[in-house]
Amino acid sequence: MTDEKPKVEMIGPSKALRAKIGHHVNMNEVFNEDAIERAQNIIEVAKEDFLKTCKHALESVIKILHKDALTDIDRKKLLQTSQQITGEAETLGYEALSTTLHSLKKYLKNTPTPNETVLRKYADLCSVILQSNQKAHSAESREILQKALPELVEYFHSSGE
Amino acid sequence: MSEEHIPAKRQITNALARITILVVDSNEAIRELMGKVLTELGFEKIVYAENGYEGIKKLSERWIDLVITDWDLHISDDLEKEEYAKETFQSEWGGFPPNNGASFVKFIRLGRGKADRFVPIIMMTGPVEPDVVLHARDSGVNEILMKPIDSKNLCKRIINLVDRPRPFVTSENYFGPCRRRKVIPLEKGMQERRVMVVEIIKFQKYQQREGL
Repeated sequence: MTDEKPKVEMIGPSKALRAKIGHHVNMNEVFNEDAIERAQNIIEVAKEDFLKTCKHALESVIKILHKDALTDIDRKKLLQTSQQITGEAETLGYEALSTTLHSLKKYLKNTPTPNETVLRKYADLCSVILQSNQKAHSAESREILQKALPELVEYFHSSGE
Repeated sequence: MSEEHIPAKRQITNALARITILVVDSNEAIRELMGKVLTELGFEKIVYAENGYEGIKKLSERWIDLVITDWDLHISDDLEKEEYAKETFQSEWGGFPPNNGASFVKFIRLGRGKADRFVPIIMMTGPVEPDVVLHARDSGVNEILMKPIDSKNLCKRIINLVDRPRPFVTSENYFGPCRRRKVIPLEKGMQERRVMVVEIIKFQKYQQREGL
């Protein structure tokens, strides 16, 4: 029996990026503290703006979640808004918000006839986050989740989310 | 400002201006934000794609020096739009369009489009997704940028790509940057232990060879 080892080949690192930038250019000088700070300021402004725009979107989500029965349009609107907010919230560091809406999105996609009680719980959770100015991060967000909605947390666990 | 300083600064600005970056993200606001951040850092040529399908098209149309992509690259919540994109993609490239960052990167690395297989790729992933990170690494990304984004980390990743590019590995089931990168410094005393273990193994092999 012959032992054939899988063929693995190494190709030298590509220096195309360095060549195009120029060998004399020191990247640490290009991205100096000033440049990094200016770029970070843009992110901070985006964070603040997001809080304002997100408020209205989240309020419309809460309103739909409190409806007695979801229509197809409601469902579509919920999915679209959740998708949009989740992406931005995650990128900008609003963890509680992104986790909640990600979970809601998953629930709506996997459940053809969503349970009214569960939807109300999601609405409550969104309200708590909205009230806390959406500034809750990691440990704080977990605390909010556990304090405000133990039933929903239980639901997350039982559904393996 | 001294006269000597001006040309050097110009050189630096021009250096980044030559680089074309493709930003792929389903979220328009994030695409815009990334564009603003990169512009502030000195980049001038930035192209955008909404999803993997568009990303592949952009990569085939022009030379891209660096790709920054999100993990979540769903085509659209609009089913009709999604169906149309899937059909168009299938007729143009064959197969299903990439619907997440990993399949997008794999598509590039497999060389199925006209894109450069070696193009450096930074992938942005969520903060608590270890599976995603492994998946991204195995798809062939060069760098992973954890969310929430911050400019310092973004710059670090770009500097890594420029100053510390990794060799590429080609094997039966992987094509991409070598995944063994980190050289973890050994704790105090560990280096000596490691040397000792190597010596013992060498001695054992010698014994076997000599039949001792």
